[in-house]
Amino acid sequence: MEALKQIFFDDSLFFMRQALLLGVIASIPFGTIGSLVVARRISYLAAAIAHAVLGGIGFSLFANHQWGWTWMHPMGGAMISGVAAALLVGWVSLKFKAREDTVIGAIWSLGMAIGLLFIFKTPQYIDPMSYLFGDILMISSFDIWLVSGLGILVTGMVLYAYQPLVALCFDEEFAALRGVRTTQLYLLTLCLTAVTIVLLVSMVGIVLVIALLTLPAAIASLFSRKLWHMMLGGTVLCMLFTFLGTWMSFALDIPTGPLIIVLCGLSYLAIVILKK
Amino acid sequence: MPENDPLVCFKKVSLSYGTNEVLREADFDIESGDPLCVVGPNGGGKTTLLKLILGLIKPDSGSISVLGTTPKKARSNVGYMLQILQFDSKFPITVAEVIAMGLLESGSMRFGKHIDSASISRAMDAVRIVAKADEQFSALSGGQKQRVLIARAMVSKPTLLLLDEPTANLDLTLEDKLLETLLQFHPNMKIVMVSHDLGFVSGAVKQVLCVNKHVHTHPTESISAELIEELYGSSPRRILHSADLGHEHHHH
Repeated sequence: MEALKQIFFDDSLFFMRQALLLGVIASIPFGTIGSLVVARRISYLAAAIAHAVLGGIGFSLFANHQWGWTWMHPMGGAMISGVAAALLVGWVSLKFKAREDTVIGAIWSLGMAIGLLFIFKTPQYIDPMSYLFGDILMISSFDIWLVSGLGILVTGMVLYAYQPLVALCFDEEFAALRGVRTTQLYLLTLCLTAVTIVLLVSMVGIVLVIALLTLPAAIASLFSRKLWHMMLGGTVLCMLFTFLGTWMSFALDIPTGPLIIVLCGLSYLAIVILKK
Repeated sequence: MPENDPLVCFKKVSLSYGTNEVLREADFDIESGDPLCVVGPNGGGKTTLLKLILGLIKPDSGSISVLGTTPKKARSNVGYMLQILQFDSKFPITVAEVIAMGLLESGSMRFGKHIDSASISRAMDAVRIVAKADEQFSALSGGQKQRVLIARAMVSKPTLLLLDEPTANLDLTLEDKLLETLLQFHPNMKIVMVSHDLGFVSGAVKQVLCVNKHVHTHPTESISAELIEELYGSSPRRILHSADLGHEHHHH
């Protein structure tokens, strides 16, 4: 409790309040897109996109330092590679159903490897670990605005196309027969997943993004009768985990990201086992 | 389309999956009127036939017209129920939401401006699932799920209703009255259903479409031992035996 008081009222701990605020706002896209990812069973695709993003980050860092392409911000590179990976992974999952997992595994590792090679060849030393795990305590006010925008975009899409999204996730063939443009809607979902991943990877890291995208929504799915219940539940749980994780990490003086992941993961496993 | 044109028209339709020939020069019409059953051995092309009518697959050669247009364009007037329940057992969706899917509109990404809840209620009423409207689909029994999927297929009041094995999981009370129930919901609907259950077929419809690479139409009373042998390529005794079993079932 003492730690919480400190976080909220100590002037020198502004960065902690920023982290808490980001956690709360980021929970909206995490809970919403996460529910679609879990319900449509594409967690594996989301993880592949998250890792392939490193390819774009590596390339833009290299281009920045080697060729002086200062306009090529790592975030821009990540966005391009993320959306490209989403479209590629989506196309593969639609066209190569039989070999889907292997091909997606290839895209996953290839994207990462290319990123690491570029980072290795970049004149200035960059620690790839910072991209894998990120640091929620290093975010800026601009990041918070970006994530708020993302939250509005994602919520807007879900409100606009809720029924077709439910149909897409539950029974794609039937939805297509009723005239829903399932391919476009599926690729749009993947692209928004990619945008969510890219924006948040630079703040919290690849591993935490995957955990927060899938685990709160998966827990909510165990108690939901409707998809929007799951989205709402996933968002609230995500807020709870990031809040508790940030608070506890400060009180116990341990890294924030891994602690949030441990909280999510253990809760999910405990609930699954208890519900059996 | 003119009144007396056939609803479905196959002209010399052939289809193979790799080296496996499924249909050879299938040439037939489905006219409007009484319900029609599609019978034939496993792998004989029954489900393929429905998928061709829906335009989900394209024939290697020949042409298909449905409701006077292409299968794809006709879809909004065709209701369809899948054979196998391969749904995610944890998916958060209620019975009413599953049935509402049958009212999704063509071409748009959006749900119809207003949800026609009266139609949904009537469809639920017809298959006697109203009490479960707000329950999770995955919590239902096999027979209840089947009823929900039948309601979803017919809720839009299609001109043509395609049902693949609709009696597979049904409880007997509804199985006996299935066609009656569907026609009560929408009298002008042409029902085409795939069935294995010859006992049900002989009691329920006047006409069958026999599919085993070739497609022929027969009146139900002309289904003889010879025809079954020709169709299934196996002892008619075994087939008739299972048909008898089906009959016994009905009297329970």
